[in-house]
Amino acid sequence: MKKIVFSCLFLLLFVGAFPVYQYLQRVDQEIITRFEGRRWKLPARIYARPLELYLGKELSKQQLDKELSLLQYSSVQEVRKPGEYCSTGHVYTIYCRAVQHLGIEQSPTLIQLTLKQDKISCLQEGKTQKPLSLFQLEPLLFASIYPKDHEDRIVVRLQDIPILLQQTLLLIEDKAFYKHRGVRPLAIVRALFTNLRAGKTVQGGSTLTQQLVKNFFLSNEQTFARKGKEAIMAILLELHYEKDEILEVYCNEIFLGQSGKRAIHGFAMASKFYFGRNIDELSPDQLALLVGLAKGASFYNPRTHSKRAQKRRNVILNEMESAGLLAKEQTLRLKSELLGVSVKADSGISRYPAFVHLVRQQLERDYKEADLQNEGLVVYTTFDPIVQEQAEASMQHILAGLEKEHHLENGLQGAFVLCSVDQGEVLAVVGGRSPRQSGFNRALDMRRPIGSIIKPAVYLEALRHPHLYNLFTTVSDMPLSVSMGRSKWKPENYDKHFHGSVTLYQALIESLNVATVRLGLTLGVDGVAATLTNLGVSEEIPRFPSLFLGSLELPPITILQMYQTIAAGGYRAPLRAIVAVTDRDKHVLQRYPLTVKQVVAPGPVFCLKTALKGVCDTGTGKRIRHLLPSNLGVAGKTGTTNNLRDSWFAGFSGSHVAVAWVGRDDNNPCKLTGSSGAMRVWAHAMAHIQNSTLVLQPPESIDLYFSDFESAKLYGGKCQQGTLVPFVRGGSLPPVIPCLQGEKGEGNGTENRLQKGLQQLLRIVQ
Amino acid sequence: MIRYLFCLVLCVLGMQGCGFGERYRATPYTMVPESSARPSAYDIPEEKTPGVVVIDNPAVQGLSDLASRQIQNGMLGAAVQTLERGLRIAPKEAVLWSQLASVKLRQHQYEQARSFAAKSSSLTHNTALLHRNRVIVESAQ
Repeated sequence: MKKIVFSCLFLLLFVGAFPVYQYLQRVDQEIITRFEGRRWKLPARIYARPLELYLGKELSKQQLDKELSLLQYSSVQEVRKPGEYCSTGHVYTIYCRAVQHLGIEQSPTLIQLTLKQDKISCLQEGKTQKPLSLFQLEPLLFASIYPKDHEDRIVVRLQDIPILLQQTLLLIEDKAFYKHRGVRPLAIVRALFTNLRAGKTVQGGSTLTQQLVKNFFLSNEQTFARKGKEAIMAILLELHYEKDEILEVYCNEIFLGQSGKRAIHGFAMASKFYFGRNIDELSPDQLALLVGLAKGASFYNPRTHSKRAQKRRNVILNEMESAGLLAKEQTLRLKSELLGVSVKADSGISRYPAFVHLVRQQLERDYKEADLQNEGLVVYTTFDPIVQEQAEASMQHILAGLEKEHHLENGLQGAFVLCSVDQGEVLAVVGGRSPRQSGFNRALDMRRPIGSIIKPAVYLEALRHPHLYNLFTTVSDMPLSVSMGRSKWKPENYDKHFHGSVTLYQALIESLNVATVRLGLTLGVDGVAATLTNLGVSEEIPRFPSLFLGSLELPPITILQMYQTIAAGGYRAPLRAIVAVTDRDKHVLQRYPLTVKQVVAPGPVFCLKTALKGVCDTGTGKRIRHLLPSNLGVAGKTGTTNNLRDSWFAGFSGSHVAVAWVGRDDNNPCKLTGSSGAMRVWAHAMAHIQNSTLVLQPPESIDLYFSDFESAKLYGGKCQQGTLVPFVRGGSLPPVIPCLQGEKGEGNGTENRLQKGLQQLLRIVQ
Repeated sequence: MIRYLFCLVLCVLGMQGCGFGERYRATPYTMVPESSARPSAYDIPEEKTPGVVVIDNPAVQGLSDLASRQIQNGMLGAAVQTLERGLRIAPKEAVLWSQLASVKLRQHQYEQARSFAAKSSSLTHNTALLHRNRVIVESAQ
């Protein structure tokens, strides 16, 4: 009988143990799968261009201060660690953070630089005083693309987490971490009794491993079953992994804050979130605050419950002192410190949504949305925060001024895009008057008739045929009637007058509509459309004569491409916002290299650029001279659409191409011309960024002749009077007149009089 | 009337001597500046000593030298990156564009090699550099 009972019991035990074994195996597998991969969903990080520092670089004090402020460098009396700087007048001492991206590696370095007349006049290594030829500040992280669960973290290795933080964490959360095997039964029992006696939870018995298990695998449910599973998993976790590995995962996983939908995980991210600094730059009191948050990030939120958070921090500082981690005096001093958290939480939504929009558009061509959200991609862009901030400020300032000045209804809107001339690297995108709002991006998505800023394409199509056209070729600006099916189209000039026979130069700088349409009709719509395509207009182009006056609807970004090609002398560089993408370990996945293609011969483009400079010197854009520094030469074109609905300006300096638009979202008239609206925004932005003057350097195929603009003729011989005008070598040339003042402008009075008389005679004979 | 005018023309011609034909044939302005008082709208770059290509900016010169070493060591991707960095500092530096052309040639990206070489030539009057660019264009045909 006894034997039967034992057998039955053994059988029952065996039968009962099997499901337990199966359960353990399943849990074990779950732990291994999740922990082995240890791949959190990481957001894509988007970085701006790094600021290059070198001797002679144009950089104002305000710009350098702005860059340092965006990078969250602290201004201090004495510079001691990376992320700090001090400035006395125009001399800066900066302890630069480490730079490691795209093959460039710089360790944390103390540098000294001096600014003189908005230029770097001295750049040297701070400790050795050794001159530096080139140095880079780290690029600004300006946007992230978050996973669907909105968890945000910076994953760091254990060796990159300050030892003091590790020691404090273990001191507060689990003193015996390196001794136990995942659970401490005695601690649990002790906590149970203490809590029962207190009638509430005053002590926790969970080890760090258990806390990790709860955060990593389980819910916050307070049941015995969950607690049991937590203990089993903690033991299994400790069986499989080293203590240091568990601690590292804990430090990256722990929830430490919330901002809107964005959840802050891990100490490294929390350091950025609360202090705007890297984890290795924090002081002991700041580390104590972060450790304190592990107990309850919402309850001890230093932004909303600062007193509570300070009390918690001071408790931890006391513990640190008791454990010998801090000296008594140091603790006293640190306890009196303010919390030092940044006032406003970084919501995780970029300050520059319009530029991020452009980056995402380009990224989405090559990456799946899920990869962008989860794979921790690192995106290096061409974004220049200094230029961007200035463009935004200019937009807001000028639009407000225009509304006041012209007594306009509120609600003017604007768009602005800017790129480098030769590389087509987009530096700034302003999608509207409220740049922090991520709504409709007018710079990229708005399609409006482009008006007269299309005209350079018409004139370029003419100049591409140098045997037929040059800048002095005349075209009639007299009434014109164009058959459009059954109806007739009679284009008019903005001033409602006709100007007789005009040169191409005059027609373009004065933006004469009738002359332009007549020229366009001679050239053909297809030819002009082909030139537009060559310049970079990829949209479909309707083939109607109204095209010559800009009935074509385009977004500002496309116009930017068009003017980039012109500014770069016919070398189209496809607009780029991204330089490279790397994986989370900084291995390059894809580069977006500079490419250029010569799409128009340099000679005709040079003649066009000369005329566009004329627009800004004496043409419809001549008022720009009063808006820009006198030493900044620019070229560009104004554009105004029917009933003053759209105000455009597109143009370039020696270094930057930019397009500005001003109008209303409801398409009602904004009552501004190209020069009274968009040009003001354009000029204000260009005047306040580092810019180089436009230098017209003639290509080989160009001959310059001294010419008389009034008569549209060249001066003969070696005469050096009048103005130098470019003509494509081998192309048609205008008639020649003799020198009014003798060769090199040094003739005597009698000779001049005779020559003048001779000119008159020739006119009669002709 | 016309006869009278014709006589007058002949008189003027006599006074002016043989310069008439020259005066009524326009001569293009030469590219080398004759005096410093030139109209400022056009930049006439100075011809550097043939065979010597100098970059004024030491930071850019350093990047150009680094790119040369990277090209020699076959690190073409890194060289492109270095040259692009240099061009952000000095976008009109013809030497960098030429080096970029040379890298593209080695990468068998012939169209880009030609474009970069042409771009370089459009920014310089240095005969050595122009020659180098011509060689690149010919090699990339």
